[in-house]
Amino acid sequence: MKSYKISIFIFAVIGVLACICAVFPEEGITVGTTTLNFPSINDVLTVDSGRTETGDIAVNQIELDSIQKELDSIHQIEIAPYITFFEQAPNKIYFPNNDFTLFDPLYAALEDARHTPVRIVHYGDSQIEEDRITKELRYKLQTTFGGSGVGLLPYIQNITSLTTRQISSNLLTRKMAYGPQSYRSADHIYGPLMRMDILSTPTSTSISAKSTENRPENHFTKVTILTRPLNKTITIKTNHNDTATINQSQKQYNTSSFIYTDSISQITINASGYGYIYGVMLDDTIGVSVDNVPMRGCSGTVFSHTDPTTMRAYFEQTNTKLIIMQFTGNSVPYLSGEKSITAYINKIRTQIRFMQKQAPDAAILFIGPSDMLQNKDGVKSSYPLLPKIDRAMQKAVNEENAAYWSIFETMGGKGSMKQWTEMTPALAGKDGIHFTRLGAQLIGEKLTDAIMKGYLYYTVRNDYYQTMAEKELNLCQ
Amino acid sequence: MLDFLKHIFAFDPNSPLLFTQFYFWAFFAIVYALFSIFQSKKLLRNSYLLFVSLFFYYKTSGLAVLILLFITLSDFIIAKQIARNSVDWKRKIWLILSVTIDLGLLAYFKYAYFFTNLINDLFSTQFQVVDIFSMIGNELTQSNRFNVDAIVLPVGISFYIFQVISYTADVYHRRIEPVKNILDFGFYVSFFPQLVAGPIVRASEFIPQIYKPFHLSRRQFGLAVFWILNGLIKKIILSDYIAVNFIDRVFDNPLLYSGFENTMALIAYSMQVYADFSGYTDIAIGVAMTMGFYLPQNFDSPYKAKNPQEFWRRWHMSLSRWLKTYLYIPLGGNRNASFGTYFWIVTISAIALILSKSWWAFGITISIGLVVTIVGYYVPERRKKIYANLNSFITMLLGGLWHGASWNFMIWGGLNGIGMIINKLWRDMNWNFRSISLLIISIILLYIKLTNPTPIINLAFWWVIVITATTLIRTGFDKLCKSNLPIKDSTFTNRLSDIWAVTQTFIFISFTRLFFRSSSNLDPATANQEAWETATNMINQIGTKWNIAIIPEICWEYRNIFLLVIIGLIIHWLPTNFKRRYRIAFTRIPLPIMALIVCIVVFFIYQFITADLQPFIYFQF
Repeated sequence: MKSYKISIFIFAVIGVLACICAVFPEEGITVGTTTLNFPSINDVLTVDSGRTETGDIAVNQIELDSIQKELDSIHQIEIAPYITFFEQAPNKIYFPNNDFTLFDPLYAALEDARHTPVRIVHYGDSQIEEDRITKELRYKLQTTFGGSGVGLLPYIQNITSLTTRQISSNLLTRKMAYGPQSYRSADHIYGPLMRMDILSTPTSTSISAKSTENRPENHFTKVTILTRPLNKTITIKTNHNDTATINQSQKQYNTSSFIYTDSISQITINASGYGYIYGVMLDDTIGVSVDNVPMRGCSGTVFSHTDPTTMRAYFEQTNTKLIIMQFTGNSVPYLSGEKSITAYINKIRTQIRFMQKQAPDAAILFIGPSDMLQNKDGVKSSYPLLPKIDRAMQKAVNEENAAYWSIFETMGGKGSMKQWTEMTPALAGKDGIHFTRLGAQLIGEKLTDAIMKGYLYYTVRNDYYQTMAEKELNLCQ
Repeated sequence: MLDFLKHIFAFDPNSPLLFTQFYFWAFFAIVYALFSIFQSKKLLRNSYLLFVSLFFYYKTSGLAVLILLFITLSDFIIAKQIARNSVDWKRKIWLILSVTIDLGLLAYFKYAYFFTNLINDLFSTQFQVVDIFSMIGNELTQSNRFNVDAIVLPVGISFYIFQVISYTADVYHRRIEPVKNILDFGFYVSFFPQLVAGPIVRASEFIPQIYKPFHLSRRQFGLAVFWILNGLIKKIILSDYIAVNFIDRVFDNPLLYSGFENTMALIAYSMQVYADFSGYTDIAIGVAMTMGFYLPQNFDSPYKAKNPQEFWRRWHMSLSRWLKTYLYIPLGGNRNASFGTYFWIVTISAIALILSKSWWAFGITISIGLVVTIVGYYVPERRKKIYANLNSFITMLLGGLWHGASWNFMIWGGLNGIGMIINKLWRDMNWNFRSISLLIISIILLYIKLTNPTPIINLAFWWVIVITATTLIRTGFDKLCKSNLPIKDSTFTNRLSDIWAVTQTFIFISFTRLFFRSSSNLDPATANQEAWETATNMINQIGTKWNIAIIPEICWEYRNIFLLVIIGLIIHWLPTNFKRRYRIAFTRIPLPIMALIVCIVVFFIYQFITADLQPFIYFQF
């Protein structure tokens, strides 16, 4: 075969394809439920430089190394930088009406944590699984204000955690407020983890710290088991010779605590009887506890469907001062226009109000979606409505008198996810949705930084008021 | 338009010329148009293709093209010196010089981090890796244009280094005459279809072709088009689509998925890695064929293999052949142990020490090597087999290290080596012995499972139980065949036996790939940590997190992905003759209809490129 004929063949194929490009409708051709696509000539000739759409990346490799240094030296900063931070920093917290005092009760409680324990509960979707983000906040708060332990854990752990190892003798039936309908409980009394394990056969669970490092999360002095007996007494025994019996007559939310004079890093809990086990709390008798509550696949709209009494009791008994709600990511692919965004936001408003009602002493911090990639005409790009969703969420959350933290802005805005996936080492997975452990750690550090900046600003403000008060007093004298 | 032309001709690290992108085919159309003008004059054709190949490499790897030019020049000159000398020791010195330069460059680019870690660990120093080529570039340009802080691995360096080593070694062994013209040699080294991902073409196979005039029959052209389409379908549909929508997600976060999903990801990854690599090679073979050049077959339906040894004869055949010719046979092959065998035992033990930072690893590795060598020495009747196994194990380990300097690649190579040895030993056993040994292993594993249950023991136990059960059945059948009963081996039973062997080999090879997939090829510490974490997390899930009740739901939600994997495997397992027949049928199609089929296939493939990402589905397990 002559080579010129092959050349004609190649150009003929390109020609036919070019013709299809020219006549094929840009929106594609829908056949049944499938839409057939083909690029336009312009699409083919347009150069994708691989750069982000904004080119404005807030976080880079150098920052990764300097974060710890920045956190350590943060107390040196004067008041002006705080104002600048809360006005300009990508990882700033948006307070309603710029009222920076919203978190003051939390900060006051943290300062007093060495006398009265204080709790923070971090709810979220799969982004917070494995304790990847929460552990950064917990570590900083516990090393600063005291406290130890990982906080609340399910009795039967299904998802491996970076901080804790849990081995159970057998699986119990689980009911959850989220996930497919078949996982629901008829009574909806789920507890603070939004789930319960139904104890029907004697079951033991061994919980231990995953690391031998001397970090506060790796040991604890107080163990609390949250239960609700049904038609039978629940008996709890531990390998440290503790026993508790929860009588069947107390058909309500119940806590059984064991306190140890020396901190421990392992416990085996044997439970028998019949009833719900809501979880196990590993804490210190004082200091800060931070719970990590991942709710896989959840959009954060299920809280109001649960029985409020258990939640209220938990928040009250544990002195919960901050509830973090990190959702929206699972809804982004379905938020395709004004109507769906508004509908979702309205549901979130309801959830915030519900939480505020159950935990009136706690502030709410809502964390919005990260940048996320979709496959559009063979090119991975950010969901176009993400900036709009992020802004609308911030506005609505603030209107509900709750604070808002934008992962989207912290990452660098639209297009940043693409860069996060391409960095070495990568900060996000190839799916363009989930963070890698390093990326999650960075987000955790950025969140911690924002909360700690708020705290330092609080101390500076307090010092100022105190100095002013002292001056006034001097003048009066 | 200006942007488009700039995109075609300027180097952009974000947009290398890949077979799966339109830009490559636009480039190829222009290249081929000019080729059809030059093809009648061999020197002009070869020089033109050399120029085009260098441009292609520049587009893919930027200034690394200078390394390619240097290697070409150095091996061209050295091979000439070898051919010119008749004194053996002089020829050997030239050969050593060539191999030192080639492997030195490969080691610098591929193993710099590894050696820096080694020195820092041994002498408690704090050396950092610096790209000396970038430093030189900055000095020459009096700028800070080049980043000196990291060494970027030039694309395809492992392939073309092995290619030039094969050339010089062949000249040394007088298998071929040296190439007379540097342009022809440069063309052989840099021929663009196979430059970045092989196949590794040996000089003796390719160089004679560059002196032949262009010839391509109508059927051969049809076959070339078939290979290109076949490769594109494999690469885009069976590899990229499945990877993005399923495999990458599971491998990135194994703990978020159930044991069943992890298992399916592992199986799908076997499909993906084959479709990706062989797809690329198919396109390379097809593109080269349109220009009248024939590249060697690189894959021969590897998952049809009935044992690991056969697998390696069918998988990445050009690398397996290279390793056999230039490593396994010089080590002593299946006859003897050589100085090289002992040298590599010590070196591999040292590498084990470096990677694990444990003297235990060193002691165990070197002890195994020594025990095997001593047994081989004192048991003459088994010597050949022992040395053959030792040499093939070393070859597999070094083959693993060729992929990257980290534990995971070493484990992967080692597992393949062990698999091959166990299979050889297995074939030498009778059915009774096989059954008894498997029963003993099952009991031991059961004991460990009961006393110290871990995911890996769980996995091993169930796997061994299945193998034991089938072996017992086979042993019983063997006994029945030998009895007076009218039961004999038949085509059906042989077919069953083959299917079982293929399945076992496929599962074994898929399992070894737990250690193969790593995100970093440069920093061994990162590669080790990531690969190890992924492997242990996947084993943990596969070994424990099974909830049979949700499997139908998972299968339904991932039906598109699983269906593609199944279709891919069915096509893979189709009989060779059947495949040959439909290939021939394709070559007979009239050209206008063939062109139309190409357009339809491109349209079809594009639907997968632009398909929406599979939504995330979370199953509570």
